[in-house]
Amino acid sequence: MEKILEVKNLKKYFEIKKEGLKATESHILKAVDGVSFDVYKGETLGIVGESGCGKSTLGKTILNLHQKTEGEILFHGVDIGNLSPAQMKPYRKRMQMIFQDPYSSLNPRKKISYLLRQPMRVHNLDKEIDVEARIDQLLTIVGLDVKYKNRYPHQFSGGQRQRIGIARALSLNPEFVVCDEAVSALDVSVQAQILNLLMDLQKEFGLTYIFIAHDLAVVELISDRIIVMYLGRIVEEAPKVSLIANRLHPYTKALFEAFPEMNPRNRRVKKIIVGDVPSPIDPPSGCHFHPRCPFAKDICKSHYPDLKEVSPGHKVACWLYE
Amino acid sequence: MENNKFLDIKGLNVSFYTQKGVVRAVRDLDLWINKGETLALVGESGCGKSVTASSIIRLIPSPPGKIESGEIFLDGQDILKLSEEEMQKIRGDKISMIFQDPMTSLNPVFKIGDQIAEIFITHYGLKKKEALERAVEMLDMVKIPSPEKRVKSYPHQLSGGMRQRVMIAMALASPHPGIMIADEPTTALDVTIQAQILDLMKELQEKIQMSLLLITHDMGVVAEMASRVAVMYAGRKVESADVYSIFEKPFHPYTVGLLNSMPSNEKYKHNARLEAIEGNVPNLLEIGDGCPFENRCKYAKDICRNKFPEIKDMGNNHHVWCHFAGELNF
Amino acid sequence: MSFLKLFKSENVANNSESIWYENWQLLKKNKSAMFGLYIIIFFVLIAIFAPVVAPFDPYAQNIDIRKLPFFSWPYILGTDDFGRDILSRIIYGARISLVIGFISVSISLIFGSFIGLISGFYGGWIDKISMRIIDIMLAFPYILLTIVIVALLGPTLLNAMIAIGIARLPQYARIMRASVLAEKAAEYVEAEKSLGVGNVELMFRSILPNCLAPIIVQATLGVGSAIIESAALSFLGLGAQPPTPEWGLMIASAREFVSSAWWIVTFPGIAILFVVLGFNLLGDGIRDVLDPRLKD
Repeated sequence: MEKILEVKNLKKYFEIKKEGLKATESHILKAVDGVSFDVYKGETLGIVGESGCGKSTLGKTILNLHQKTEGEILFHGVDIGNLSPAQMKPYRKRMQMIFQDPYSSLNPRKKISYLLRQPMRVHNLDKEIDVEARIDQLLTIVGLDVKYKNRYPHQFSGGQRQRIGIARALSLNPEFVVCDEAVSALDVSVQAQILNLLMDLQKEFGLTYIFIAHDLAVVELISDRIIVMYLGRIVEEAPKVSLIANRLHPYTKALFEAFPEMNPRNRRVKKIIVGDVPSPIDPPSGCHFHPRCPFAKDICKSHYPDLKEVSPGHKVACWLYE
Repeated sequence: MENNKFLDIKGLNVSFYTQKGVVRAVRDLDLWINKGETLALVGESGCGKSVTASSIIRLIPSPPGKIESGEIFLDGQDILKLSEEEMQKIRGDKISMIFQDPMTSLNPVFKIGDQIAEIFITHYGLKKKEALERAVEMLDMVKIPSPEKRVKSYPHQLSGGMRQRVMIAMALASPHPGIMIADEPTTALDVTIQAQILDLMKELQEKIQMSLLLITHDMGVVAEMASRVAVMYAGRKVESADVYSIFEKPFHPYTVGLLNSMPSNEKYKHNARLEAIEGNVPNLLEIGDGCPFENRCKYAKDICRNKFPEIKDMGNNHHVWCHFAGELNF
Repeated sequence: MSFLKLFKSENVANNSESIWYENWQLLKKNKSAMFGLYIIIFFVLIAIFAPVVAPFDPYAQNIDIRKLPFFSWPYILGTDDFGRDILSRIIYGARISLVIGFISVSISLIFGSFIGLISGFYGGWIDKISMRIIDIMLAFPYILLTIVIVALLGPTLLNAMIAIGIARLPQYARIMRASVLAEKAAEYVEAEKSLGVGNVELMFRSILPNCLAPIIVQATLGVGSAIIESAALSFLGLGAQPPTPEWGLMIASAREFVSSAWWIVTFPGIAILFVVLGFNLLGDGIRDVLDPRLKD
C-alpha cells in the first residue's frame, strides 16, 4: 500500500511561562513527545485519547499549523515541517482539516459563497475553473441546498455548518483530510448524518482521513486503524479488528472498559481506573500511565517502554509485553 | 405505589417570550420519579430537558421564561404554589442540582472547604470549625484524595472531575437530600473520569436512598444509570418506559432513530453505514400542534401533522405518544 | 445554562441579510440612539447648506450693532462684540466643528487601528515595541500631550486636528489590539490558514471586519470628544485663529462679556452641547446593539 504520510519521532513542545512573584518560571509542555506512524492511501486512521493527550496538537502539527519542535513529517516523501509558508502553499491544497466547532470555524462576517470561493481564489483556481459552478457542486455534494449560498453562517444549524466546513475542505480537491473532533459538538442524530457523509465522501473521492476524537465508539466505527495516545505518546497502535479483539495496553483496556455500553443488561461491576489524567507539564516518570496502572512494576516507574510490534500491525508500548 | 412518587410533574407548560415570538419549550409534560430511583430524561439540544430541570428548582429566568401551567409535587407539596422564600429553603435541602460545568456553580474566590462548610453553618447551625470538619468528611465521602488538604483549594485548582465531586458533596451535605437533578453531569469529562463519577453517583444514591433525575443526551450513560427513561423531542415527551424496554423494544420512531444514531450500537460492529435520522430539529417558533417529529419521520401520515397523539399504554408502564405505536416495524 | 439555544433557529433562517443589516434594524428600535442620529443629521445638513441657511455673512463686522441681545430681529441670537451675527457664525461653525471631529477621529482611527492590528496579529517584538510606545503616550495627561503636539507643529486648525488625532490614537490601538487577539484565537483563523490563506488577507479581509464593532463605538463617541477638545484648544489659542467662526474660539473671545452679554458665550456652548450629545447618544446606542453585554 502507498504511504501518504510518514511521521517520524515527531515532537511538539510548548513553552509555558508562569510569572511568579520572584522569578518567571518556564515550563515545557510536551504535547506531542516522539510520535511515529504511517498513514496509507485511502484508509482512515483514528486517533483516540483523553483531554491533554496531545491528539489535537498532533493533527495540527502534521498539517504544519503548529511549527514542529523536532522530527519529520514526510508527505509523499517531502518533509513539510521545514517548509516556508510559500513553499507550503501547494501542499495546503492537498491536505485539509475539518474542525471541531462548527460555530467558530466559519468566519461570521462572510457569506457561504465567499467562504467556499476563498480557497479557490487564494490558490488561483478561479482562472482555471468556473468557481460559481464549483460552489454549487460542493454544496450539493455535502447535501445543502444551493439556494442558501448567499446566507451567513449564523443562519444555519450546527450540522449544516459542519457540512459547509466539509464543503470548504473539499473545495481544493485534497487527498488527505484531518478531522479534528469533527462530530463531537453535534447532536447525536446530526452526528450520525455527518459520519455517514464523511464515509460516503471518502469512498467517492478516495480520501485518506486522520480522524481525531475522544469518542471511542465514533473512532471504532469510522477507522481502519486506531492509535491510542496518552500524555503525548502512542501507547497502542493496531488495525481496528485486532484492537477490538485484543486490547493490550492497560490504558486502552481501561479506556474502553470505562466507555458506557448501550446495553442496560451489561451493567457490570467495572474495573474503573482511579485518579486523574496527570498534567502534561510534569508527567510521571517512566511510563506516564504507571501511577494509574494496576499492573505497574518497578521498571515502569523509571523507564518508558518502546512501541513494539507484538503481532502484525499491532504495536504496544508496555513493559508487560517485553 | 402512588405515595411513592417523590417528584410528580403534571401537565407542565413552559414558554419563553422572545423578540421573534413565543417558544414553547416544554409542552404538557407529565413526569414522576419514585423514591430512590433514577429517571433519565433523554433528548437532544432544545428538546426541553434542561428547561424541565430548571422548572423543578424554579430557576427559569423570568422574563423571558414563564411557567404557564402545571403542577410540580415534591414530596407531596406543590412547589409552584410556594413563595420564593419557601422555595429558597427547599433548594439545597430537598432538591439539589449539579451541572455540566461545575465552575458555574462554584464561587471562584472562596476555598471549596468554606463553600461546603457554609451549608453546615446555614442549614445545621454549626460553628465554623465543626462545619469545616464536616466538609472534610464530605470530601472523603466523594472520594477526593487527601481531603484535609483539598478543603483549602480554590475551585480552579481542581480538575473537572474533582470539581464535579465537590458539587456532589455539596448536594449531599443538605439535611434531607431527597432528589438530585444532574444536568449532563459528565458531558464535559473524559471517559475514565465519567466512569468514576457515574460510579460514585450510583454508590451514594444507594447509600442514602435518594432519587436522581439524570438529564443527558448520551444513551450509553442512560443504559449505565437509569431505572426508567423518558425521551423528549422538541418540548414533548414522546416515550417513557423502564430502561430495558427502551433499549430492547422501543415504540417511538424517534427513540428508535436516537438508538440507531449511536455509533456504539451493537449493530455497527462491521463498519456499516449509520441509520441516521434525516433532517434537522424543527424551529420551536414554528412548531404547530402536530407531532413535532413529523417532518423527520419516515412513517409520518397526514394525521401526524395536525394532531399530537394521545398517550398509548403498551403495558408495564410503557407509554408512547405516536399515532402508530405498535403498528410500525423498525 | 442552555436557554439561549432555544432561540437559535435550527433551520436555515429565512432572510439572507448581513449582520450589519440586522444591527441596523436593532438600532432603529433604540429611541435615544435615533434621537442622537437626528441631531447629527441636523447639524450635518446645516453645515452643508450653511451659505443657504445662514442669514448673514459670519465674517461681516458692523460696529453699529455690537452686542445686540438675542431676539433683536433680524439677529435672532444677537450679535457679538464685533457686530457679527451669532446665528450665522454658529451655522458656519458647524462646518468647522464637524470637519474637526471627523478628520481627527479618522486620523486616530486609521493609524490607531493599523498599529493595533499589526501588533495584535504578529505579536512578539513588534507588539512589545508598539505597545510600550502606546503606554508612554497614555502616561501623558491627555490635554498636555495635545498641547505639546500643537506647540511643536504650530497653532493652526489643521495642526489641532492632527494633534487631537495623534493624542487619541493609543485608545484605538489598544481596543483594536485586544479584539484582534480575541479573534486570532477563533477557529476560523486557523481554518483559513490551513486553506493557505496568507497573512495580509487574514489580517485585513478576515479578522478586521470582525474587530470593527468596538472601534465603531469608540469612533462615534470620539467625534463628540474631539469637538470638545478642539474647542478647548481654540479657547487656549492653540487651535482655530480669529476671525474663524469656531465654537470654542467664539466662547474664548467673548469670555470677558460673560456677565454683560451672556448670549455671546452661551449659544456656541449650547451648539457644542447638542452635537456632542448627539454623538454620545448614537455611540451608546451602537454599543448596546453591537455588544449587548455592556448594556446596563
